[in-house]
Amino acid sequence: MQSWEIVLLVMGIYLILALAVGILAGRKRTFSIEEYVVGQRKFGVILTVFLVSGTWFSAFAFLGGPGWAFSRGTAVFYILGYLAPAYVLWWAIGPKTSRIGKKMNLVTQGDLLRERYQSKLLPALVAIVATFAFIQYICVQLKGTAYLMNVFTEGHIPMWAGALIAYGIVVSYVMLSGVRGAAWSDVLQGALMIGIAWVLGLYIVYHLYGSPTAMFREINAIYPGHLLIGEPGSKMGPATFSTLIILCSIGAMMWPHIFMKGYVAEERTIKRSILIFPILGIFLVPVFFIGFAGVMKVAPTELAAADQILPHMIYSILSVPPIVIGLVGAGALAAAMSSADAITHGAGSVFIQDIVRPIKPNMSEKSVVWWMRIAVLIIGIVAYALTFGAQSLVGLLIGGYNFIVQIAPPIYGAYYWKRATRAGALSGFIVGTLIAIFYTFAKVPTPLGMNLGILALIVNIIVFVVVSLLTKPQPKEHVEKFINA
Amino acid sequence: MPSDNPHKRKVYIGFAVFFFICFMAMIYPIYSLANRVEPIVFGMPFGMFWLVLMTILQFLGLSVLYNWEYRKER
Repeated sequence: MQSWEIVLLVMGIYLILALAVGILAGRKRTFSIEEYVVGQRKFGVILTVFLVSGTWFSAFAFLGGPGWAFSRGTAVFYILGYLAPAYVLWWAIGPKTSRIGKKMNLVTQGDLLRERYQSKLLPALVAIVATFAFIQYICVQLKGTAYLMNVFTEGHIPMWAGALIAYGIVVSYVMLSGVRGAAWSDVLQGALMIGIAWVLGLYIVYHLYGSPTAMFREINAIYPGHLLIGEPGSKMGPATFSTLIILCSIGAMMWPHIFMKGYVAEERTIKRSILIFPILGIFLVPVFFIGFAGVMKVAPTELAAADQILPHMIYSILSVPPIVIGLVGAGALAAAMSSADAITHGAGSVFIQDIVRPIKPNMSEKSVVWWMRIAVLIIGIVAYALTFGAQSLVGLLIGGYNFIVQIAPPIYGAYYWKRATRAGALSGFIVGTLIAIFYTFAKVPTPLGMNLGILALIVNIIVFVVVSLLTKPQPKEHVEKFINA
Repeated sequence: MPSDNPHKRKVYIGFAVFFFICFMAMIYPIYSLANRVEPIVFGMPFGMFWLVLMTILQFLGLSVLYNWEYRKER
């Protein structure tokens, strides 16, 4: 066998396993909405923690993360920075989401907003904004998988086919098994990607430099500033570093597909999954090592894009047997697929539950689940087409966090602020989103050069508070169901 | 988290302050103290080690909070 055939065989075995696990997960289940969307709220700790972290660490972990460490150095640390605060905030809202969701039978983020603010418009607007961000996010994962399959098989699998195979598998198990399919495949994918990242990251560093300490000393001697923020030679300043940490800390759990994971388990299970998370979160350390290891060995001009550093190192710098190349490829595919599954599932569920159902309230439970499956398929097809069709459009949508973070005020308001009203939540969200849209597309500088997401968020909060205080409070007993839950 | 009980309320405020301090330590201006390469700790440049340390501190804080919240059941 030629070496690329062995690589393809290893990746193929992983793909078949992922498909099998995903489909078997939904075997012998009766698919109610509660089962399809939130797994009957009965997931255990392991399933919950892999579902959330698998979703969180995407293709970015294996391609973008090392790419940033390679090209921008310490700038990449912001990803490490927002991890814990995002989870501390999740402690404040996740268990509450689980309790309220069970009591009121909610399955999406939009359900919560609809109940609390008695508004059909707000969840629909949130869902529309989220769907745009979702499709963009899926496209990034698809490009990642396509690229990986192509490079790792030395060009024998064309881009279109790689994405079609990997994403076809994702769409199949998500359609059939719902959130349970995504969760069980995430256990396989998460274990694979984390195991490979640690082994590979440490191997690369020890093999090429002797130790991480030696590596960083060498980088610091030759490229002073690469390992620092805001110094000559640094690729990021203090203001950007800090705003990215703030923005992502607030925004991370506001992604509708992540927020709704608050419904998949009991309150205590959610808290336990948070406590286990750092074991997986520190996973980022060796991933960054891979990128840093490239700094002294690869000239930036050798790569078409910094994201290619990992495959480039595997092929050109290290001489490892094809079976290892295949495993690394499988790990990276797993990272991309474990995000694509949860996003596609979230997008399909949210689209039907928050946009279609309020318009057509008479659908039967069974037909809702079927429509969700159809929505998953359609979103899959659209995302696939956009990945290879209109790439410039995808580029325009980058910056999902600037939009997603606008969901935070109505959510925190729903749980912690008695005076929050429908008018306040709606007007704040609309104004914040419009500002984010304006600065994304108008290409004019923001006042004081602020991050546009933070700027829009601040205006969003001000409008939310002022309009809420000016409008009639919601009935006390209604509000207390959410605040005291 | 019902917080009608004033003692409980105080404990939650205490935790919130702790998490806020950890958070502030990861961004500017406080992070400027950690923005250096040496000393390299556990193979990580000091800035990276600092962020990992703050991450671990926050999760330790959450563990303590968990034990406190469920203390009666043990």
